Amino acid sequence: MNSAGINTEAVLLSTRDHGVVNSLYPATNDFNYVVAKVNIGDKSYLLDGTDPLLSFGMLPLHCLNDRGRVFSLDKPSYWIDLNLPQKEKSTRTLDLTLQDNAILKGTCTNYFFGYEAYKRRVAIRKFNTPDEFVEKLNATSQHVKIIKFEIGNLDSLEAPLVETYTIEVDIFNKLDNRLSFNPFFWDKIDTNPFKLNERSYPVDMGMVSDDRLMLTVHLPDHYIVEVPPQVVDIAMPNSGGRFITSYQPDNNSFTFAHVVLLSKSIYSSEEYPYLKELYNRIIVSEKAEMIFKKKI
Amino acid sequence: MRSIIIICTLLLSFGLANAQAIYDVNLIPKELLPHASAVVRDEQVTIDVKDLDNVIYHVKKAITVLNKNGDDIAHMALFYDKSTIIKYIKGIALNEFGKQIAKFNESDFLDQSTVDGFSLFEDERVKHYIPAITEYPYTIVYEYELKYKQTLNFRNWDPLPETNLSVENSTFTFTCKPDFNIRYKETNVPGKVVTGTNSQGLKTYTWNVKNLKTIKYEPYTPYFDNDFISVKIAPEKFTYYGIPGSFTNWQELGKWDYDKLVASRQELPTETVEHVKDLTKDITDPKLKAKKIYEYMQRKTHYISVQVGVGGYQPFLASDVDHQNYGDCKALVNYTQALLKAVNIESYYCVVESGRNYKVSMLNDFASMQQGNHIILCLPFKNDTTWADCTSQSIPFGYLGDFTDDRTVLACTPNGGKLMHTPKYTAQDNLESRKASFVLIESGELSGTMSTIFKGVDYEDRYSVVNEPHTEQIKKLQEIYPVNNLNIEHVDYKQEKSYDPVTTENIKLQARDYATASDGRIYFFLNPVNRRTNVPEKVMNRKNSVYINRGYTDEEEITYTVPAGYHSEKKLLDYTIDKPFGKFIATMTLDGNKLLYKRNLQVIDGTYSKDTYQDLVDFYQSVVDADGYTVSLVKNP
Repeated sequence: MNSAGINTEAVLLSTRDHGVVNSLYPATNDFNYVVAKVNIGDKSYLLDGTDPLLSFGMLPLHCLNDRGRVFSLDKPSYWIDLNLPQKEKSTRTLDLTLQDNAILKGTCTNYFFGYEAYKRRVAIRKFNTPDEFVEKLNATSQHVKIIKFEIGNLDSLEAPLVETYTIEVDIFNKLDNRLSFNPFFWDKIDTNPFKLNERSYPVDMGMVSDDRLMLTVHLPDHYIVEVPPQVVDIAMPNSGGRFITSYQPDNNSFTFAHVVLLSKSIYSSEEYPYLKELYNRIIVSEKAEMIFKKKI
Repeated sequence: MRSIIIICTLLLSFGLANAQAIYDVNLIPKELLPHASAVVRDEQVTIDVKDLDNVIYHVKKAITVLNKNGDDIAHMALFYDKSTIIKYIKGIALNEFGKQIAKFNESDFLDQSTVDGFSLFEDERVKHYIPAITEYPYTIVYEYELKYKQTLNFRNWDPLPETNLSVENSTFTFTCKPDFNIRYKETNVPGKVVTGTNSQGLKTYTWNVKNLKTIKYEPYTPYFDNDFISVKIAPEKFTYYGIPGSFTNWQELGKWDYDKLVASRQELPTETVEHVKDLTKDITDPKLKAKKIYEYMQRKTHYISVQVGVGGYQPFLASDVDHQNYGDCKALVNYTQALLKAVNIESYYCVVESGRNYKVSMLNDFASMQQGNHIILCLPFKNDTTWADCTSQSIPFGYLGDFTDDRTVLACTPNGGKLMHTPKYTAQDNLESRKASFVLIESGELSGTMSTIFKGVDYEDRYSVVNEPHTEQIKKLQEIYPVNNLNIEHVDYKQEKSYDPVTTENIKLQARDYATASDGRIYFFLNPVNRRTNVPEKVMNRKNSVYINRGYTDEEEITYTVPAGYHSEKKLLDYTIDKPFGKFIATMTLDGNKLLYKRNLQVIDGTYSKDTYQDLVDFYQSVVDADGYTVSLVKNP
């Protein structure tokens, strides 16, 4: 970079599993990783040269650990905060129509932005081809069949990753002979990651996140929604996070939205109980089923 | 004349270009590409027995890496120790057109100790090399030679060792003097061995495979599945670290092992012999005597791993273990055997292939040394053959668990080797049985007591929890039981170390918001702690039979006292499925405010036809669905 005329400095840091760097006195073995800090105009970008799937200016989660020390050739060294503006964001849009054979058929579109897109690209690249990735997804999905798929922007790292699936979901529950549907058939959170009653350390999520599910279901004339999804709106103190669901019935169709926003990258131990409770509510909502039935 | 030279030169250079271009990626047969991360283009493996203490192992291999996932397959690692010498390694890297882009030799390899962080001492080292190439596809062509100073063990040939790999051509040649006899065991080898004599008058055995497609991973696959190709070779006459021997069957191999490696290692100091006699003088039943001695050994010693040279097969002297109080599996079995001998109890030193995921037996029809990796003890009491693993300080006498159960082992006795079979834990034996009594209140809080017993191989299920301090036990149980806001007020464990041992767990718990209460309705999971969520993945066109390694039984009986004045708004759970490989029954009854839930899941080990697989997927899907049953109670009008 420097030989190309772009001012660049080295940043020494400690990865997450290596602990936090001590800022009171210098110790070389506090550090175990190095990234580049590129200065362009009054902006700077941190770059990790080890992973070809990271987009420009993005650091992997294991590097996002408190502070790093910048070393340049012509200035004394100084600290920088590794709390980067990067985000993880995903949106899933489902547009499904109920068929008379108890199958919900339609499309599922997943949009992955920022770090979420990076994680998904890593997951897809574990397979030789996108086809094999989808083959595995199909083989491990319960009651869901993937009929067709398309994955866009797999190699365009600056653009959101877009997956479009044509799917069929079998919603007939043979245990109680009802039509019950849970839209969280992929990536459901079913146990709370926060188990302690109280916590003395902060929770460092690394970055803010934004996850949304937007569902539209079209029902044939002779069907109704017997048990609709619950509507929730809870927020954490100091705009730390929010969990909202909404339900909009219409003639022969409805929409349901489920939004989880975690607006801080680090939560203090005082905020821990609220974070835990937010997850509790998310889990309750994600396990609930909506029930459809034939009009009598 | 000149034109002839020019033509020759042209032909020569053309020939060379061709020689390189043979590894052009476009020349890989199309059927070898699906699911492949790497393709072995050509492999020539040669084992050349020059003498009883001089074996040359030569490998020449060309492998094309198609994408990043194939890097690990091309990663070269050569293991060596004091008796295995690396003679040379060299190689080149080619681009996708088969043109050379780099060259490497032994100095480019990293030399590392293979110390596993687990063994106390070992002398094995590894040299490894990861090609620094980022343009895919690329091809690595390399060649190396190792020299072994023993002829007891030869490397197996398995040309297709992993998934995501295909093979264009692979050849294995074994060469030896006319008077060196071998036995070999082929598994799924498609062609026939070709035997002959080479120009130096040496005997040769050659195996070859061509165009092997990638193996697709299929869950529940037998250990020796249809795709697993291998050739094992055993010598008739051999030397091992200077110790000569010969065998053609298990009887002779066991005899050699006992006579040469074990028999002379069992002498104990007189005081120890007297002490053991004294310890057991009031016990008449030999099994109880043996139990006493085993427990004495457990208290006195601890397990360490030592893997070096002949020590890989030969135990420490019993007197050293007696003095130092530690040993590896061989040393502790040998020591226990010596202690038992002091009170005239016969026992056998047994070689076993240990492992939890598969029960691997010694091959009945093919004796060879490297089929086992662990030593256990057998006590051949009349009509009551008893087994013991001597490496644990805590397991009960006579208990093997899932590490060495139900498999054929080699007992090395003074009369020679004999194959024996370790006891099997049946689906009924491996029991996890739970009874709980809970109260659920209108706010959604669940509280009550839960008692679980673990038997058979499940006896060890709480191994990592039992010996932890109380606060750590609680954290681990919060991970084990999927109940949100689980608050464990009390937990205790009892372990009954009988011949049929039992672990009992008693818990008093409470969980707020276990149920969701809204609009006069209460919802909660009927199955509170043992919900299955995974279904084996669907497989199209399955090739392998279905193999269930170990059977088990789960029983739950859970009583809930629910708030009075509610009824169920949906059909009560009542589900039964019965298949040759398993049974599942889940039922509930609601009588006033008493809700009773019963669940019984039994899976029976065995090998079933490949067509059974879809039934197995459907079976587990039904279990998952029934385990996800949500009780939905509504206030009576």
